[in-house]
Amino acid sequence: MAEATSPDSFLPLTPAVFHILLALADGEKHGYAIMQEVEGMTEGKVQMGPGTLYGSIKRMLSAGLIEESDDRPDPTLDDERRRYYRQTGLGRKVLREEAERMAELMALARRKRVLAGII
Amino acid sequence: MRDPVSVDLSVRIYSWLLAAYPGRFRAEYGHHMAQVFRDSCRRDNRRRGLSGMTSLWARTSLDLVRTTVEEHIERGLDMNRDKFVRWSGWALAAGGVLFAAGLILGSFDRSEFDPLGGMDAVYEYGQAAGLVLGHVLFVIGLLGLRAGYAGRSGSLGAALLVLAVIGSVVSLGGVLANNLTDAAWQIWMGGYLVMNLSLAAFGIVAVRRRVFSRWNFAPILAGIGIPLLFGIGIAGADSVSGTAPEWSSFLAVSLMVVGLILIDLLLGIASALKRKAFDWVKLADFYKSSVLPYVIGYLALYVAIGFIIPPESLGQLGEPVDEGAVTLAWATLTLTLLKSILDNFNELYRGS
Repeated sequence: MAEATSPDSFLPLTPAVFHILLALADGEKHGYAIMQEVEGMTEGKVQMGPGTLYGSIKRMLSAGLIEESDDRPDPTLDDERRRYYRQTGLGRKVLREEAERMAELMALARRKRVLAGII
Repeated sequence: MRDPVSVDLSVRIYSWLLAAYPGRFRAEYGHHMAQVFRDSCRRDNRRRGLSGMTSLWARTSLDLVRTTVEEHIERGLDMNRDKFVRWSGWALAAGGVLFAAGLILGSFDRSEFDPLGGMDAVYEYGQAAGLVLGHVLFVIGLLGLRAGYAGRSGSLGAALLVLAVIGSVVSLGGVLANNLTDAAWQIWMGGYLVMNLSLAAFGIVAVRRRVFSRWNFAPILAGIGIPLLFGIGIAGADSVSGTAPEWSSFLAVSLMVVGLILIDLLLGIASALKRKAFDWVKLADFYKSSVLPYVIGYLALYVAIGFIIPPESLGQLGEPVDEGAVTLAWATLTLTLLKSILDNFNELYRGS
């Protein structure tokens, strides 16, 4: 069902969904780890609250962009009730297409010299 | 290790505030949200103390208010949409029944062109109510069909459903304006034609893509059956009001019966092909056992009623009684054919 959906149909992504997919690009994480990763990646500029985080997770699970993982990196160091999430194949494709879309916009901005003096 | 009082108290308050979210969302994610909030409290309290906690609460409060509203709206939309789609199927069917009832009542109106409330007021108001309510239900039913099934019907199917909705709205506008302007009749018929053609064409898409779990033929039947009903109603009204020759009603009813027989026959053949049991001998048997009796029965009833109860013999009541008897014969045959069509449907989709 979700696999048959075109990645294009999800674009453009909301900032929260894009950052969550980006945070999961290098492996599965639980909710708080996703939140920390997003804050770290954006140097504190994006700070998601629990409602935004889990509201987005709920919609991403339903759309097939991410899935829950049963694996635990180290069960002895972690609360077993934590849920871990990882990207699906569709999630990877959507993230890639969104990054390409943004790169094209960046190239356009450069050609128009919008970013002159910044980059 | 025990958490500081400020962290513990914050988590308690936040857990209590989670009650604002919809029940299902809270049950699924409430525990995890409280856990994430606890982790955030510990970190901000450790790094920045009271100012860190204050800042966290400010951010989290805004997040809580915004996402609570979002989740409630999403839940409400989902529930309303599901209910709407479920009920719209019944709306479409009820629209067909009311529409047919309006046409049948209208066929008893002997003075088609007098203002509403004349000598056949009951029939006229019944016809008007049936047509208007029937059309309103068509619009609702088609909107529900589009909301529930456009996504799995492909671009052509989705476009046909939009056309059907537009046609039904235009048709309703024509019905409502029927007493205001002569052009309303053309608007009504134009919308009506678009609605039914689009619905029948969508039925072909539905059969090919298996849009519904079963009854994918239904939109084709509706797209053909509703105009047939309309033809009968118009011919009946014209013959009773004296604006059309008597035989036009007979011809229209006969065409409808033949149309139903053809639909029944096609479904029977489709069912036989599905069972890989199709042969010409069985087809001939089918004609003999199912088609011929309908035709003979209808003709016999139509002719016999005219002789057994001649309209002149009953005075003023003669014409309504005669028309009623013919309508009864027509309804009996139509119901028999519809039952056979339903049986063929069941056989085709359930394989029983």
